Amino acid sequence: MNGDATTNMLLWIIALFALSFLMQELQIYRIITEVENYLGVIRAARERALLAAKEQVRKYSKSLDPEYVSRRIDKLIETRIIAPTSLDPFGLVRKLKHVLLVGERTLESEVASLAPAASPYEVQNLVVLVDIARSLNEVYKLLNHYYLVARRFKSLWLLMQLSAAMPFIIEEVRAVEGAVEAFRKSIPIGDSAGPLVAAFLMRKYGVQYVVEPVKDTIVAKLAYGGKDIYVIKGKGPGGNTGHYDDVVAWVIQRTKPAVIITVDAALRYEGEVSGEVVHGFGVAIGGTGVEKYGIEEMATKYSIPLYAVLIKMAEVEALSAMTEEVYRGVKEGVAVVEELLASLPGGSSAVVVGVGNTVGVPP
Amino acid sequence: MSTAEAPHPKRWVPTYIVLLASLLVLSAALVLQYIRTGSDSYLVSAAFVAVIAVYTAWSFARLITLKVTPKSLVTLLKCSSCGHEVVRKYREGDMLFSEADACPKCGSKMVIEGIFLREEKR
Repeated sequence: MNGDATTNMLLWIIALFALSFLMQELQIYRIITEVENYLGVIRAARERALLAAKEQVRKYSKSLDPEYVSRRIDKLIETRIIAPTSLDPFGLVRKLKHVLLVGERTLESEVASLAPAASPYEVQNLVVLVDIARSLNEVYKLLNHYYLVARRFKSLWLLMQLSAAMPFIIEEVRAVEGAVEAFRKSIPIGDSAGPLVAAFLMRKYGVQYVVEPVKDTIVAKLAYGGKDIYVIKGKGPGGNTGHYDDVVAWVIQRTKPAVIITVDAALRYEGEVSGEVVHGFGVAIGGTGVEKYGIEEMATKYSIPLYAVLIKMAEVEALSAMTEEVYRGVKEGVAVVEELLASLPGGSSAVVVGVGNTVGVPP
Repeated sequence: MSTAEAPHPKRWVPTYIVLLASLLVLSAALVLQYIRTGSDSYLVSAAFVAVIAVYTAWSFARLITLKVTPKSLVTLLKCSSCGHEVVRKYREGDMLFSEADACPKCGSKMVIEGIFLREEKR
């Protein structure tokens, strides 16, 4: 009897011990399956974006061998931008700007050579489509790398980190992928809110002149109640964001503005309403920070106040075709900029920068 | 509109219904067996199946209360003469600030004032 109880107890201990290992193995297997599913979604998104880019480029490259075009695009999506070293941070922004400009121009000329029948603005949209495929390719490869490493070492902790981050990454991937259709059709996306505000101002008040002092970026001078208003935006309707810092410098060489107003899309928090317009102080420009730095430098040097008008939206909305809520926000944004301009003294000048991708928004 | 439409979650509704019905039938059969035989193991099994059924029902309730609002791409046109506004479905080639259809009120050309996604009324 006593012997039976001891055997039972021993069996229980062995079972519990084996179970603790088995549970961990099961958990690893469950997370691997989950991460594999997410990776499948990202891989499919990359394939769709790549196919869309290839199809769109082929529309304008009838004279070229489709296989050659396809191979060139496969190569283009593998290109990398290498940030300059920060060992000596002096002049880092200038170096970064140089690297980005070289990358941008090279990609544009490559795409233009693959699509000889495309107009300049169609080339810009094609560049964005290739860029989307490139971003998704980079995300997929990076995550796949972490997944394979975690799987090779059967590291539960690495897998758990990947699994925890995946829902957020998937949200971003869906947002980026949502842009494909908008760029194919050349229609405004949520991020076009800033350029759209600028375009509405230009149409409402009439322009005295429009110039393009820097490639793909225009400045329009408006006569607004005895004040000189300089409105800056990407040229459009092709997908580009322009080079605002250089154009602001161009304006400052000619006049000393009383204020620089940047209008941009801003990410809203969960629970906030899309299309809500809020004020801010500073330069509302995202991305690498190169242009933000340039404008801040000039504004500080000449003591020019910096105001910002932000149109709130979710990340998915920023990259997909513009939603009605954001469109209403754009209309409200125009009114807010008008209020700011109305408060300026007569005879003064101001700069309004419509920040964002100007796809589908003509000058 | 997007090329990557996520599959509609409500495609799982039939699966949930079949699963829930099976679990309820199984649970009821186990309770009947317990009543007939008086064996505790049937009661334990019935309780176990009932717990799974409750969890399935809870997941099902969450799924059917899930709201998915479809959106369609529309073009907003504004008459340059009388200011009359018309919203119609987006057509391939529509471009912001370009002239489009004639105004239904005064016959003047209308200008495209906006292209955006609008929630479809159900």
